[in-house]
Amino acid sequence: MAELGKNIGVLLENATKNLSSTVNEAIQSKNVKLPSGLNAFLSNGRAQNQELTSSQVIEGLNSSSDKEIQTSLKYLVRLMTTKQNSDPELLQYFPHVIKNITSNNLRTKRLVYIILLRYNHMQQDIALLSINAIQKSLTDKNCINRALAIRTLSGIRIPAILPILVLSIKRTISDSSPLVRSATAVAITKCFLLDVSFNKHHAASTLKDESTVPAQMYNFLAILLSDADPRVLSSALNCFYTIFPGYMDLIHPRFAFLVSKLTELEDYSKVILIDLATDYARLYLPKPTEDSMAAELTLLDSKLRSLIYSSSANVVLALVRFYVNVLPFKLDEIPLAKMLVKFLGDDEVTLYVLKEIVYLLDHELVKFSNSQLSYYVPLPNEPFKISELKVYILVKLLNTQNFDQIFTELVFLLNTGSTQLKLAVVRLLNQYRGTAEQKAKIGQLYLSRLDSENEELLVAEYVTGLRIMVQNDLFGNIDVLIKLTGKLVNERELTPVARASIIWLVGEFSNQQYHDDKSVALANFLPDLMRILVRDFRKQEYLVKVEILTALTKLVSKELYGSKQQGEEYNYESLIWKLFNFVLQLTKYDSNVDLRDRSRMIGSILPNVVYLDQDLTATTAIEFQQYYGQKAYVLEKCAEKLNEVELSILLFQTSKPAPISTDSSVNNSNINKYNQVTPQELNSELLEYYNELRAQEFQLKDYNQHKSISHAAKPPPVVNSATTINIEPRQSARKYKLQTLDDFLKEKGTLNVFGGSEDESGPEDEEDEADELATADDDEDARDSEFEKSS
Amino acid sequence: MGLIDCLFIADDRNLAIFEHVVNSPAPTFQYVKDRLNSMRKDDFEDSGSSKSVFDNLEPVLDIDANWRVAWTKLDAVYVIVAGETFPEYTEVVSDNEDDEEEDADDATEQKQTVTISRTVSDLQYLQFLTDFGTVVKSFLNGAVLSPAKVELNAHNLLLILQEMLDASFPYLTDLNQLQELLPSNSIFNKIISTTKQIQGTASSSINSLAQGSSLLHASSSASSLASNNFQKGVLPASCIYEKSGNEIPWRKVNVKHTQNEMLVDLVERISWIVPASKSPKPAYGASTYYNLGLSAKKNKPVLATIDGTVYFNSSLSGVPTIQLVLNLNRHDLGVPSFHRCVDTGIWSSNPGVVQFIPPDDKFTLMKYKINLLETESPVNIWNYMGLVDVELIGGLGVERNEFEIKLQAKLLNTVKFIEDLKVEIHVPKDHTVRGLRITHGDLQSRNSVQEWVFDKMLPTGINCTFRGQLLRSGGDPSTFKPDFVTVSYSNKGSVPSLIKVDSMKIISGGSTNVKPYKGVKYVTQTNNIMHR
Repeated sequence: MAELGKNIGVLLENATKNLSSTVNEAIQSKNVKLPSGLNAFLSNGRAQNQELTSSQVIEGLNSSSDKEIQTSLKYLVRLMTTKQNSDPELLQYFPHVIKNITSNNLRTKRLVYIILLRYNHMQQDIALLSINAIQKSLTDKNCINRALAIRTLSGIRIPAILPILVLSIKRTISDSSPLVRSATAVAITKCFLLDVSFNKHHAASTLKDESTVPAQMYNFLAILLSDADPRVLSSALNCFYTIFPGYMDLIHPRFAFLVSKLTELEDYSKVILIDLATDYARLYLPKPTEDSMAAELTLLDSKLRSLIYSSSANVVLALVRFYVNVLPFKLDEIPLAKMLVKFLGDDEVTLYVLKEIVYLLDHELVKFSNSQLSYYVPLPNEPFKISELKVYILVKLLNTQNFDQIFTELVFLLNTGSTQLKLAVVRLLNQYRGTAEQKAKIGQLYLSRLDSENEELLVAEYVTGLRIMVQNDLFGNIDVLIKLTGKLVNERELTPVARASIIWLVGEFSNQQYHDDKSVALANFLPDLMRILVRDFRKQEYLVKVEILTALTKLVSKELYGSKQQGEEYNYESLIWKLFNFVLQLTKYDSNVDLRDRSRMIGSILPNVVYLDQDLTATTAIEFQQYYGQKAYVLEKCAEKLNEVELSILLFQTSKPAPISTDSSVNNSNINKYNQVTPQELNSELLEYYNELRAQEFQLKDYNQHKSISHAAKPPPVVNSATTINIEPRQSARKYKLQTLDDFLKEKGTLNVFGGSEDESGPEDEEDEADELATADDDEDARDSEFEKSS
Repeated sequence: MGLIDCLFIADDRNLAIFEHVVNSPAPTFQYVKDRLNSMRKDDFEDSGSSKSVFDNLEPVLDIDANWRVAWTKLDAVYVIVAGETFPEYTEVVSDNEDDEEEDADDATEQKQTVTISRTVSDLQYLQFLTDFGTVVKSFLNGAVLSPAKVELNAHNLLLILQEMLDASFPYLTDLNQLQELLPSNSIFNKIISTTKQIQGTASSSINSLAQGSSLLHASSSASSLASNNFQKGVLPASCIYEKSGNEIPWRKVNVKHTQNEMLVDLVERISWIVPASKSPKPAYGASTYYNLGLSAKKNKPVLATIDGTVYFNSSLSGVPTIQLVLNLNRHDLGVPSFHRCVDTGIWSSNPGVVQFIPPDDKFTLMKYKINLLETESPVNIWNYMGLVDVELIGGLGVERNEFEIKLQAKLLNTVKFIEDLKVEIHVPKDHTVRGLRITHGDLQSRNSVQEWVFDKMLPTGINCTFRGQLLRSGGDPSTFKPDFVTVSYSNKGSVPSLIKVDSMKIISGGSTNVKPYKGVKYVTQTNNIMHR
């Protein structure tokens, strides 16, 4: 054992010695190529971060060492992404950068591609010089290079390259590597968009003409959508979604095939396919019932069952959307609640899962047991938006069995939560319509809070809640109102908002017909109450003043109207009348414009002395009895005004509908939108026709036959399609003829770029290509001279 | 046009420190920021508290009729993506010149009005942001992302984005695939790979010493050759996507390791909330101070959940199929989330059995959530609530203005220490805590939160008591008791659910001649433990 330990010690010692000697060597001699990262490390990281002068950059770019080239490129890339307005500076290096496109170092090449893609349209002539090199990479032995090349080529935004691009896509579409074919799907998207942005033709009509770029892309995409490799299918679906979303003819024959591949796709594409299948099932498949389902749906159902274990909430939401819209009767079979709650945590996804739960609850699609309520208990350290949604859900779930349980939670939040959360709780609770008993509990809670709460907004919400309660059922809640008026009299510290709201409520109450003792008592107390309120009118806030004025107006108009209906003369010495005139007089000269306005408006509608007597000033103290003796004409005017009193009744005495709280702060629009599916349904007359479309054959592209990959342990998946056609993987590097850009430009229009490698394309295709090149001719002629100059 | 047209990284002062345009036209960062700022004003009143434009905004939102923005916070920076929105519905186009004229005519007539929905799920954006975060962290070896770090690694981020996004769509997002496509050449990786080589050479030599054979030597030199190639920027000979028909695209091709090991980390986070008990407490609390035990009768918790995550970390050669058998201890794991490599069919027919071909290196194998309140069988849920129990009692003392927090660290022979134990005392507004008698640890006040903090390593099996009083802002004792206390800690050696790894074995593939080293680690963390 000791010997072994010694051995290890020696081994390690040697190893360290070796390592350090390598490092020393590297520092001493420039010949040893150390990775730039390690170099940077050795020179204290300065190389990575230093500012380079323009001559240093150019020198680096023209150097023969990969390391130096990369240092320059990294510097430029950093400039490009992190500094504002770096474009002019970078463009001056552009030609030097492009020179390195032939590098054999993948890293260098990637960095050059990145810069090329950013600036190609700004220096088109120079960018075009790189095309040849990229084309060469299309036939590289390594699939990573080929895939990168086709993606880069398609990213160049110069319309002149369209013909080359189309031909390149035609080549890579049957590449033996799925990575390259997947990259081709990306290239198709970009090629299509490039064509559309420069030749602004109408897409629908161009598809009829097989020679146009969109039509060719359409056909290419059809090939990729038939690919057996899930990687390729994923990209092809993204492409379909971006550029041919409504072209269902691409989907009809392949629908069952695509569904059979669902579980193997990338998550993003799974979502696209599930979403597509949801609409597809509604539009083109017979409406499923519990007894009969289309074969495609049965397949889809079985595939989706395994996706409930997906770690992506994204996929799960798409899955729920499918079941809700297509197979609602199967909703019970999937563990909906458990599937969703597992994503609840404290991240962004939680927010959307909660919103989805809200959506499902709003549509009564999901149920939670009482023991599952605990998922929605807000936690002290979580973001407000999450807590708010949880409270929304809790209030939504309130029922007679769980009321106490949830109510206790809400009370706890009102004790300890943030003001923002408290507000949300009260607002949401205000929307809740419960039994009288529950309402009484809530009312009790609000009343007890009213005294101690300093937060104005919160007080306002409490009072709003009480107001809604009283308005909905005045006589059931008369006790609440009595308590509130009591607060008005007894508590000086009530916030203005609360005070104003209670006064408003009192004014509203005065409109009612009373039929029990308590309310009659309260009504009899009102004049006295108003007297107390008016006593320190001047000290009140604007809000309170307005409400006192309004309440008094209501009271006085009721009195006036009452006496008129009875045919009696109005008692111009009633307390209410006096208070009314007093307040009018005060408000007429108030500093607040709005209050003066209201006062004047009321004064012009209702009989009063303040506005009818021009002599009255702010300081005149009215002794009514004496006053009437002096100015009897004012009373006559008042009597005239009385005729118009019906109007005021209309204005002030109409009963207000109880507010329906529309202030649902839970904004669920995005989830709602997402859950919408196509409004149309299957036209059953056309079912036959669609069935035929689905029965169409398509060529399944399976390159899987000659697999030589090291870990292919499982048998190939069974594809349930009768039309499997295996294609020999083509050695794509085979027939490429090396060409310079000049060669290409000389030969353009007469030859295709790949020097006749089109072994599988028929004579038709060849014609097509000739056509394209001819159409592209004009564009290129214009640039021809430029090319030759620059090259 | 598409999901993601550009990606920005901004610091917490709303300055762009990284910009990448995937597909033009794309909005500028300035435009996005201005729009967000204006939305925030519409949305929210008190903006004084937070500096960043993003706080309080939804993670995904439409900034105008054309652009949708999604953002997330990654360490110290914000990652923002913007993409052009699709119209809600697209008309179905069909130009099928079918043989049956009549039908086709009918069809086109009907189809004129047919539309399909095209609303992108908000979660597509969030999933990308999450994936991007995972990949970036992994490529930067788990470094904390700061503005300086982003700038330093701008080229690396671009190389990653070059593969992750194209044509406005996520392109390659799987970590193992990206690692193969983008051999990382960071310093750290080099040191790791160099040391791995050294270790490999060493272990193979030891092996040859011990066994007298040099079987492993070949493989170790092969792997060092491969890593050398990586360093020179030369492509690896084979790649996941060289040929079609690769059914396990999440695993690198030709994985060779000299050390053979598989490690499982079982991490559970506990959340529970226990309401204040309504039963009257003994009037004179002096005696309770000496009565260290917690009251036997406990209230039913309001919340009792366990969030579990199983991480798997392997260095195994070849393509091994692994079977991990968990003893679920009769818990209902609901619908767990699995990594795509897991055969869910086996799980659903046989809960507890996870069978998979792992990606190389560390990954999240599964996640689950246990709601202890939902269990049907009558078990004592207190057995599964972790090692630390807490109780808050108010109204003690002669004046009934004292409170007591009792804490109990239970004994378990696999756990020696409770780490980072801390009790936060949340008090009503304008109140502070005065400690009267404290058996362990001490009272600290940090950012207006009062904490009862313990030693970093607290031995298990002890009882601690904190007796205190609340003071009003003036300094007079108040009759209130704290609103609630929260407890946080972690411990190794056990998980609260008592779920155990029963067995872990390679059932096929992998190298047969060496028995892999297996390791299981159990970790308990707290999410939210609260006693009211």
